[in-house]
Amino acid sequence: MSAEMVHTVSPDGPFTSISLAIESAKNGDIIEVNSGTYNEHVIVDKTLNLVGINQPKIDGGGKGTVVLIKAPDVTFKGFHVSGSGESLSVEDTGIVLDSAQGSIIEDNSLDDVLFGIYLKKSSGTIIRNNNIVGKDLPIAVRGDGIRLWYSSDTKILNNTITRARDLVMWWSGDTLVKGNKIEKGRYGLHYMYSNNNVFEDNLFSENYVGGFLMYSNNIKFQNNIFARNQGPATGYGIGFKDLDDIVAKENLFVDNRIGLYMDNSPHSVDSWNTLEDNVIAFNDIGISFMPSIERNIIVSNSFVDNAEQVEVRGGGTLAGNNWFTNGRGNYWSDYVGYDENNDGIGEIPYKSESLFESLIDSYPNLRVFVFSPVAQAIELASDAFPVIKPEPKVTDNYPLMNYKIPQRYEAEEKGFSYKLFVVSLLMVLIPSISYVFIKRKI
Amino acid sequence: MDTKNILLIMKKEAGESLKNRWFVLYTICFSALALLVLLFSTMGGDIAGYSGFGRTAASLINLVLLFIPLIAIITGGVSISNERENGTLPYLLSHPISKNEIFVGKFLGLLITIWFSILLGFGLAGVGVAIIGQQGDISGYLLTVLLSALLAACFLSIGFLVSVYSGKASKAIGISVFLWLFFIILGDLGIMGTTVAMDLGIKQVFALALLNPTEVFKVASVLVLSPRFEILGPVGVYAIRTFGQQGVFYLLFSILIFWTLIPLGYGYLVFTRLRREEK
Amino acid sequence: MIKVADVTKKFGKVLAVDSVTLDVQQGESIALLGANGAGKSTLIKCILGLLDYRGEIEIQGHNIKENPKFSKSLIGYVPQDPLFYDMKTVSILEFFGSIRGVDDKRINNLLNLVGLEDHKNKLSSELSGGMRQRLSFAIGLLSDPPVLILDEPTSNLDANARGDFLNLVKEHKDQGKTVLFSSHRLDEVYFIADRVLFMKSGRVILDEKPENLASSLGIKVKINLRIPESSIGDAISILNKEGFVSVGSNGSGLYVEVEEGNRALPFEKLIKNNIPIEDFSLQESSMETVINHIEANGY
Repeated sequence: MSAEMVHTVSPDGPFTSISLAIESAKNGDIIEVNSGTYNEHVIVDKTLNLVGINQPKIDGGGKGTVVLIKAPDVTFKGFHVSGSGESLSVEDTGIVLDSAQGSIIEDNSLDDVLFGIYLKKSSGTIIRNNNIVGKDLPIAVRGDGIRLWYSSDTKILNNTITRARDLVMWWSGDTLVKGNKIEKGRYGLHYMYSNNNVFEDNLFSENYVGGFLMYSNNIKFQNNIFARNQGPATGYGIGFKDLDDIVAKENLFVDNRIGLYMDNSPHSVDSWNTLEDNVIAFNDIGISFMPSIERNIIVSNSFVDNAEQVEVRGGGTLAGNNWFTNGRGNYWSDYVGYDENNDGIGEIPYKSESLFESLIDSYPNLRVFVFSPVAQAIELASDAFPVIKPEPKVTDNYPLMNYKIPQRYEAEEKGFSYKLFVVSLLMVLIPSISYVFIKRKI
Repeated sequence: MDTKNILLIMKKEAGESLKNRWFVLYTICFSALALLVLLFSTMGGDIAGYSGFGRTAASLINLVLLFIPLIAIITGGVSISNERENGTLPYLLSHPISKNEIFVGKFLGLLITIWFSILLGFGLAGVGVAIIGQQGDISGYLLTVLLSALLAACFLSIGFLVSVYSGKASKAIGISVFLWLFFIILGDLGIMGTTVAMDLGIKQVFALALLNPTEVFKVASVLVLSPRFEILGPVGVYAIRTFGQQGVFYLLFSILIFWTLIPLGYGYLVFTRLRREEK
Repeated sequence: MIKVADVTKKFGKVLAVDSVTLDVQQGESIALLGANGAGKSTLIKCILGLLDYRGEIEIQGHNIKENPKFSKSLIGYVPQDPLFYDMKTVSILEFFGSIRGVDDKRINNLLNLVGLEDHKNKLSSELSGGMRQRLSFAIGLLSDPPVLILDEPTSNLDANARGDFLNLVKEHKDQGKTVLFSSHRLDEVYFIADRVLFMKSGRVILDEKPENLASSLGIKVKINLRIPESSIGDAISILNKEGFVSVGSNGSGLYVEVEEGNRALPFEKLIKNNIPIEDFSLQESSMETVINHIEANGY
């Protein structure tokens, strides 16, 4: 076993291109790339340690895939990868790992690439601290920020993906996704047939859909933020279809069109999902359920000011789910009961039984009348004549009196606003001064 | 028409109304409402820096929606009928001033009064919120003010139409309150009933809903405060797809302006041409 | 100055003004008499252009329908019951002054003229009836218009206020204003009018000078005389002999009706016949008597 060698690449040599250095290297060697721009397509077919110094740029010139890693246990660190092609059909990518098990992709910045980082059958890989910015294309012709394809046991940590299509995970289980920021894409997370995955401390914001997960089981979500995912017709913070054994804790679903969307989840009759200590706030709809969904345990969550707290598509109730356990339910901002014994739990049950809501669940076209006085009038009428009250969608026998926001989600300080102050002051002064003038005459 | 006379009537109307204690009351109510709207919608009430168009903001929009039309339609309703009932109108008309000038002057004078009240209300609230602290941009706030002003113009105009037909202030108030109730609740209730009974499609519901200026105001407010139409369901999606964000805005503003100009124009015709006599 | 040619006004089927034609010369003062509902106010409102009508009305040659603003600027109008906005007296004057293009100096002069200077900061609702009527008159005079039209201007005033007000009108009439006023009271007519028009059912049925009014209508004054009881019988027969028709006893004396202008005659005859007159009172003919008379005589 010979000692590993260091091959240096820089615009002035000894190697002037990375490909030439790779050609001369053998497995286990280190390739140090100094800063500069390298106009080439790099293929790593040996187990090498590629290290960029001061972010050397590898520019694919707008054609094909820029970096292709075909050997296992490669480290690719500290590069600026740019200029892939724009073909969706051949999947032009910044960095492709094809059967590159156990590789580490770290501290790279990728821009002007169609796909960002693409793992094909590359299990055991670590993708860490990369910053991926997609091409400025219409969403339909963008590529994915990170794509996992039959690549299990992967760690995706502290990456930032902006303006890509999806973060895709198909057939890729036992993966940890932690501390990533995924913004302004289509699906923050697009996900099928991948079990036993953990999502922690991620931010999914301003995507069409924060995340959409299908046909998988045993998924954990903790401390993620799903915010402002407001795509037309979808706009889910997160959506689950045929998903079993989800545990979602202390996540924040805020200002999405629909905070959580539940379609046939759990799917298996012996499976239960748990939603606990989440904050679901300011969404058009807090949780939306397809009809006859059962076996979800939904406790200790805070439903704050969602225009509609719970929707049942097509109408109906959600009685088969647990809205409280062991004497604890959820916080509902529209709860009007009281807490006599000061134990933090309301004395009368929370019932989601709005006549207007049940009308719009059954006749979605009528949703155009939300926030109209007529909606209020209908509620008043149903309060006055309980006969016309619908069956409650949700009955929570132990509603919590206070909502709790995890410490790290506290709002930032707001400053004095000069702009608003000046504009408002003008609005006060115009009539006041005019009044003095008018009064002088009359 | 003589601008001097129009200005004179405007000043008289504005001056009389501004001295009125109702004006003070309206303004206080506006301020309180506006303050709450601002605090709970675009600028206040948030979690981790995120805020949304929540229920509270919505119900406050609702209050604005009840309040502004009521004040405006009654103000318009009594404008001419009251002078007719008191006999001050024929007396005024015995002087060299024309009905056109009186009508236009009165409308502008009262419109300015209500607008002052709205400006003061939102302005005071804005000053308060600015001092408490806010973030983000103020275009939503300004658009809300603009929409409220337009809504007031609509209902003032409808009130004027009521007024030219009414000989007595009490009758005008009665009709105004009924129309208010109609626009606020009964009309929408009718559309909802029809939708359920006849299974109306998206287009029909959209068209019917936008016949009502209060509904237009609400849709526009939702658009301003929460820039997504999904909240209004399939009808909202249809609107955005058909007209585009910008287009929907123009459409809504046009409808509000239409609802201002048509009753006003017809009232003007009735007052100055069709109903020529003031006994 | 005011020309009314064949003016007809109908309210529904009711003829309120029926083919009225009249011509008022400059400086002339016309009284419109007639029962309630005779059409006086309606005619005035037609002249002011407040009502639609058939026929033609001209003020100083300007047709009220074709040129309403200018025609109205020639008229100062004092309504029966002046109705003001609830503003300060001076503000009301300023308001109407602005319509008529009058400056503050003129307004102060008028306040002075009608004696409202001390009350100019009062709200109109705080003024007495007389003050309101004077304010109304001041508004009528704002632009110093050649024509004054007054619709029963004194009907809501007490005796003192009425006297003051009539003097004001008389002064302006004497200064050459053309005056058209409707009234219920003969004394006002005698005091101000050059001509009296009597209206009935929308028509002008009498056009007469006031001094001829009584005689042409044969209106009589009733005189009550107190004389010793013993002389009553003699007195009655004396007066009957002298040709007085309506004579009779009334408790403490007698009454006799004489024609306007002959009030002294019964006194003369009784004193000549040594019948002592202890006291007397006059019962003037009221508007009602005139109206009753005219109605009864079928004019």
